Amino acid sequence: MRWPRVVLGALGAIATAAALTIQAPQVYTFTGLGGLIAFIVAAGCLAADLVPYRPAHAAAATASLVDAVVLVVGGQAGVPVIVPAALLLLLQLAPAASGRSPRRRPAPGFDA
Amino acid sequence: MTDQALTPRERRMRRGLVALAMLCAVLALVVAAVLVYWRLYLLGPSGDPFTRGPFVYRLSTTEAAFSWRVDGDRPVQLEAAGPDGTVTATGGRFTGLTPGTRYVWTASVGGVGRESGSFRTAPLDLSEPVRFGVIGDYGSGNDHEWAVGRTLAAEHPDFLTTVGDNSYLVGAPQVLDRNIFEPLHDVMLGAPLWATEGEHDLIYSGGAAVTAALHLPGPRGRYTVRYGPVQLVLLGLEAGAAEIDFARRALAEPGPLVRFVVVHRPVQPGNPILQLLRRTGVAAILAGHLHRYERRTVGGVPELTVGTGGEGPGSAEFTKATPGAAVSLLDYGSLLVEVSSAEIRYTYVDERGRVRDHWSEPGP
Repeated sequence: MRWPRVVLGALGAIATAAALTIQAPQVYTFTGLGGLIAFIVAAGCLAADLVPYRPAHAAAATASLVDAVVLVVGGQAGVPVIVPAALLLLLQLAPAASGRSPRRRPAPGFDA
Repeated sequence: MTDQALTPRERRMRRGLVALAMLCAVLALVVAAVLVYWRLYLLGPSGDPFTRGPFVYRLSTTEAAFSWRVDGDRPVQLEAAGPDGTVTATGGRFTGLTPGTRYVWTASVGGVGRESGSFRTAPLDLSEPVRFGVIGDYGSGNDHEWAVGRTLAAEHPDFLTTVGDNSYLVGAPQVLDRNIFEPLHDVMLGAPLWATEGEHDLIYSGGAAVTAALHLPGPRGRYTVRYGPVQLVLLGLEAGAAEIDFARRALAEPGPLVRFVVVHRPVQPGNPILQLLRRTGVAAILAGHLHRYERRTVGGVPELTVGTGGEGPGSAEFTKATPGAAVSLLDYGSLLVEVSSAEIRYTYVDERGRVRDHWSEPGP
């Protein structure tokens, strides 16, 4: 796991913990700040996942980018911040989980 | 392909790409922050939905009527706060009001208050003074008219009357906002404008455009109007034979404690209307046409000429003082009349807010 994804996971964990322990609207300060940092890191994460191209990781990074925006503005828009916060954490675990699934054998005639 | 498959050069390029992506994200956030700040704190409020008014055009002891024009013909809610609570207008009309009471009204569009003002319903008697403003020959939309409009608005008169030439050069519908409704916007929020009509109004469709726009009760600036104990008899262009007949009927109406006659062209000595005005106890003739402020007595009746609302005197050669006038001024301004049971006070205020003439006569 590359460092941007680790940072995103950490931000997701912190935001989730904050959403569970701090009441609105005070929590919006934490989730808003976390969302801003997550947006920047997710952009770097997406770039890293494009070279070399890893579809599952890139998709997770793209979703994290969008999720970071929701984390910033969601509280003010009425979205419970626990949702984007937990999603940010899960999105970092998803590529690793998909990587553990049995690899399909390459089709005959193609190189591995 | 995995990371290990990349050459050192490709890895450096990837690190650079990651840094570039993060920098772009930072820039995107900065731009978004600037846009949000600009939208929330730097942009002004959305534009005024009203293209005309709202302005009060009828005011009696128990009713007030408003008119307006609004972008997109959107619904307007009009409410007034008074001593008995909130009153909601129906079709722009408040009914069931208390006489002699000030109401603060608000016009809302889309649930947001967009214009506010206040008016005072006409009193039943003169236990409290009635104050009204007089302007004339004003509708040119220039700086002087705007200045006169501001001083009038600051006086909070109960109503306004004009002695004609409400719009130059003609009273065409296309120029009425520029010449009447915009310069007098503030004062018309709370004071109905009861206008008679002069040559410049009448030259276009016989004054019909001005009559319709101001919701005047009669054509060609000839009608009567009451504000509680005060009656205005507006004659139009001049006091001719037809106007004298009209004035005779109007002045015979019972009820008013104080009566004024409003006419565009000043009444000259020898005019047969003067005998009628003396007999019926008219307090004063309010006239215009001459672009001066003048105070004089004609045939035993006080006559105040207020042709100084904004159009200006032009050449002094054609704006000569009337012989025998007690006061004759060329300054832009308006006349404020205060009617109480003890006296009727006339105060001429110029466009800079200076009192230039002061006069009173006994009350009713």
